[in-house]
Amino acid sequence: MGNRDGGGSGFAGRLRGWLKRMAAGKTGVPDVTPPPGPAAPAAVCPRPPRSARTAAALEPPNVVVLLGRAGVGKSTLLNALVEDGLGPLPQGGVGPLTALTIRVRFAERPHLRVRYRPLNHLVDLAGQLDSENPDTAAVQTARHLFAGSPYGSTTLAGLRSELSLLLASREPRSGTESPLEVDGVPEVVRAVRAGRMTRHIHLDGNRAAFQREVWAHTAGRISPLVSEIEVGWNSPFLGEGLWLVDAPGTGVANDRYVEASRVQLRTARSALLVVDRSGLDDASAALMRESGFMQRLLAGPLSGDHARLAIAISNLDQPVSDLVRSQPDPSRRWSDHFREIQSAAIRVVRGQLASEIGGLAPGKPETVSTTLQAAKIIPVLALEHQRLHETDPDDPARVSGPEDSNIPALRRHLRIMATGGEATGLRPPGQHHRSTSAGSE
Amino acid sequence: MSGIGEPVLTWYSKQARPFLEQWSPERLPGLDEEIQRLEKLEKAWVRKFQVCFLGNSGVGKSTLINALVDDRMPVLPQGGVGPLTALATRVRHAPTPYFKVTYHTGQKLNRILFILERQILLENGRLDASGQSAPPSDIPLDDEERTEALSVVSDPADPAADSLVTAVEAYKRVASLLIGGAQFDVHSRDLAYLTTGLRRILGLPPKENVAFDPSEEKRIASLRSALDRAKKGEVVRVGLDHDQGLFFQQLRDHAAGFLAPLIKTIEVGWAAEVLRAGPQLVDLPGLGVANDEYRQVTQKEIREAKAVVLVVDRSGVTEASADLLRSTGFLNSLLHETGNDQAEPVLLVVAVVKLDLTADDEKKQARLLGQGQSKRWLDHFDDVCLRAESMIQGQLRDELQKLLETGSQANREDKEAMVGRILSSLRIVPVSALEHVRFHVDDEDDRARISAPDQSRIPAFRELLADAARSRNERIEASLSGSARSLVSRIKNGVEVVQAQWEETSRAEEEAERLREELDGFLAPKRKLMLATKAQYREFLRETMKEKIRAAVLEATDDARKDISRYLDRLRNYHWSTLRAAVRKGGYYDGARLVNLPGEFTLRFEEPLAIVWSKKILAPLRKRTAELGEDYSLAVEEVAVWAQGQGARVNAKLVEALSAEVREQTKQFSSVGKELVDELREKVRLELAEAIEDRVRKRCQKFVEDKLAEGTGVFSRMLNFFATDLTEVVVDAAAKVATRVLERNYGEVEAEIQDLLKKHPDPLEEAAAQIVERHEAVVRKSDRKARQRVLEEATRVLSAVPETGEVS
Repeated sequence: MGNRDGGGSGFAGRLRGWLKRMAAGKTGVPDVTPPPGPAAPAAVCPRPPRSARTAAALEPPNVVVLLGRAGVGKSTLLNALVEDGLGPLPQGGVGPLTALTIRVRFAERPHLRVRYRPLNHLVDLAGQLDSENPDTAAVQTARHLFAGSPYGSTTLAGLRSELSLLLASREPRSGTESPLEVDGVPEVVRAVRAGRMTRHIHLDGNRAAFQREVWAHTAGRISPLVSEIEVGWNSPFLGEGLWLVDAPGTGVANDRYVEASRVQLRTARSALLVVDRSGLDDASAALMRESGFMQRLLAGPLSGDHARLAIAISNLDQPVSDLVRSQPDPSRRWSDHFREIQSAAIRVVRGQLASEIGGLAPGKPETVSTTLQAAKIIPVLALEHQRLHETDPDDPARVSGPEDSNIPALRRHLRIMATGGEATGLRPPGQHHRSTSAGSE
Repeated sequence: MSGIGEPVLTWYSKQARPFLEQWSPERLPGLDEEIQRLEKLEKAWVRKFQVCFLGNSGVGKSTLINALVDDRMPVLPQGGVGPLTALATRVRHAPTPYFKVTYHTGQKLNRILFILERQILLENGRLDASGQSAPPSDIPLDDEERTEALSVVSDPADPAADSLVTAVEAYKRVASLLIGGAQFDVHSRDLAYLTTGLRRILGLPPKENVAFDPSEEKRIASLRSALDRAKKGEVVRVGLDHDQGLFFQQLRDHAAGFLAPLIKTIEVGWAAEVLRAGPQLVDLPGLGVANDEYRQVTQKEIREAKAVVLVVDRSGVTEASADLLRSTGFLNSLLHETGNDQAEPVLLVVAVVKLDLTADDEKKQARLLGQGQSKRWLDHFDDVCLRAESMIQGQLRDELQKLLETGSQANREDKEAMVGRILSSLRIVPVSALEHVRFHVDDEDDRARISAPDQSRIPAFRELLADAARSRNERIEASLSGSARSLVSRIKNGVEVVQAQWEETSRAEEEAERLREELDGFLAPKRKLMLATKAQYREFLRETMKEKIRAAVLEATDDARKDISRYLDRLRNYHWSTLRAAVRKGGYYDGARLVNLPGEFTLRFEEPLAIVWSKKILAPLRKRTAELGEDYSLAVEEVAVWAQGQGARVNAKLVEALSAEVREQTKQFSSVGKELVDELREKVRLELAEAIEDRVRKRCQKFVEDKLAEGTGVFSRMLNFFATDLTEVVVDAAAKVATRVLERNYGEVEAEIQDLLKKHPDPLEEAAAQIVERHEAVVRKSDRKARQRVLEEATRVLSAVPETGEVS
């Protein structure tokens, strides 16, 4: 909400001062860390373009934080929510892909806004690699940077020399600044050295080129250099200030990720927990408790600091297929079986949630039951939703209509939840399903 | 498969032993002992080859096992919703399908009923938290069980009760599953209803006036009959005859349904080719679901496992799964294997599942990028599998590397060698269980994307498991036949020595006297040398080893201390109320997050102690003892050479037999302490655990008594208490126990050595005595008839020597 205090915020001023010092070659302590959390939109872009300072942007955004176990499919779901076809975020992939907190918001013209980490971050990394027993997280970051994956076999010595080469690299001899390219780690480092800490990329007709940039920054080689990232997408669902924040998956061996998610949850008003068929997982439950989110959830709508929760159950495709196989019945369709599994899944997750929050509010059954009823639980088929709109003959959808995947229902519910229960005044999102593919602009 | 040792045992007891008992009884004690050893080994043969499947709940362990076991039919309940597998289910080979269960007795339910009824009293304000005002209960539990159960019941007024309530919730869920057939159905059945149901199951008079749903009577009846069978100690076996639907319904009720809480063991037999070579697949309860109460089951199974399949999805080996391998002691098993060629090797397989979904995504995204239009789904799948393999390799290396962060330089190298070995023996298998089944079911509506069975990689995984089982069988077979072979040749040597002695023609007394004098002259300097050698060795056993043990314990303690402080650092990320619950419960609390201070401390000692035992104590000891054996052999060899130079005066065959015997005997010298390796592991674990648990509990109690566990600043007070007071006490206690256990263990090895030395007090004298026998013996052997008999018997014994495979 920094940009609401007027143009020249203290933060931006500090940043500019530091950028000047950087440009002058003085590497002071870059105390430009923005106040954490979604409450600091200005941090992404210290000087937002004029178009952003519209009335809509001045409204406090309605943020929904997505959290869940790594690999459960948060990014896939987020993609399905904002786009009927293939959404802007990388989905699937091998390894815990999303290491960053990614914000997705509405933009007429899709964009990628990135804020890079200061150069000192790399200097610190070099220092850590040089120590006798380098921290695993540091080694993984370096591997991600140079080998494209945090898990590889690049030797420590190799990483050290790559990093010192990178730190020593100067402007290219030609003198002209090469355009930023995928895997352009040296280019990013040069830009940062020159004080260009942020980057705005707009979708310019070429969806493939845009996606390459998005994926390189969110999950690819450049991602270790990124401190904050925002994707703007022309999705009616995101209209009127609904922001989706994709937090790093829980249960991954990296405390930095957990801390990032905790920070998000501490201030979040709404969260969408993504679980699979086994339901509520340990790590996510702990995260919600330790960030105080659960407590705010229990506080009730009368408290000023009240939080709201929805739960999406993903990856039910396989249980459905199993059911189809074990009870062959030609009269029943795939979606019939899905409906049957849905109610079972909702019961399970509700029961788990009940015992989780029951533990936090002993002796207050009314509070527990109110909270339980307020928490919407929706089984979704994000991949089926995509299949339905992709219409690939080799890979047909098993659901017959758009509502069958429950993605539209989840969209409706998230809008209601994010705006604090005021559904009035919203365009019924169902009308916007034939959303334009941004690439066709 | 078996029967390698058996002919040896028969031959020995029927033929060789009676012969030796009469003509060379001094050989019997040593040989009898060896025979017992062989029998023990033979028994170990039948020990099962257990392959444990471990992974997060919902990742698809059961689905994977099902695809491995049967191309189409899901044998185990799979793919349902919610945490499915609540117990360890074993699948083994059987020509016709069956499942077999044993049930828990009513004791488990008594406890749950007791806890839930106390909770009712507590919630109604009829009981204070201490249980002092408790009205008498008719539930058959003894005092100790009552006290223990009461510690679970919580007072809602207690601010630290959060975590305890979850424990009661867990029992409520078990009761819900028993009575209503579903774990998570919290609202339809309240405590009064559940306790009434439990009373019906247990046959106790009802306490509350609750209308009971008649549709639940059928389950109650089944549960009652299960308890009845448990009381009689019956095993229930259900075979698959005609009604497949019924069979699977019953299996589901047992493995994942309302009967699951009562199951003690469950085993499924299936005619699966992959199981033919002997592996038993164990489907473990899924981990990582909030408040899961099944961690203990998993730990127990993993400790006994000889192979673990870690099932992961595209996220790979996360910290949680790596931690699991560590906290279950599996990594420790791998560790014990290093530097100890005697222990049975342990196999770690990482199965990466659901990569078919990832391939779907990649295909779509590639299309979006306008590249790889021609790239087929299978190409994407193969590509994803390849990447997953290298990722897992990297992740595991990193996770293992974390284990090495502290420790002395010497141990560090050992540990690094361990990481290298684990990684090189690690097998990574990306598979698609879904595509495999799709391919074989061949449903028009649900087409497989693979076009050949191998493409799912399930067949390769089957081959891997069958191979592991086969090579295990071969290894046991080799070790068994090796032992049998060496034993046979020892027995044979004994018989041959007797035979050779009797073959000797009697010689004149004065010639024997001359021979003895000459031999004495030859041996005199060698005797001196042998005395000195033995004195040195004794010195080594007495002094050097004692010192080594002290130094080793110091080193291990130092390692453990560093490791403990790293663990304690991690506790900073826990919620203070979780830590406080742990402190209040004496250091162990299994709630939202598991806090197991005694367990974690113990693990951190166990590991360095195992290393120092095998590397710093056993290895040098064996080396030194083997050298002594070598000296023995050499000495006898020299005597043999001398004897051969005596021409017809000495029976060449006798000398040869003698020196073969000594060689065979001294082979044992290099494997002293063989049996003690596995025993040590258990001993260290148990004794350390006991001592540490006791200290932690007492210190925690004192902390609570001193009122330090309440008020502001409790979090930092607790962390400080862990890092200073508690760590000191634990390290001190553990060092004492460790020294004691290692010294005692060493004492046993030393006794084993002394025993060996007693059997062969002096090889030189032995050899000399055989060559130049005492006069009486010579006279005795001159009895032509006796000689005839001995020689005939010897020939008969030797002609019946059992086949023990070719000599390596």
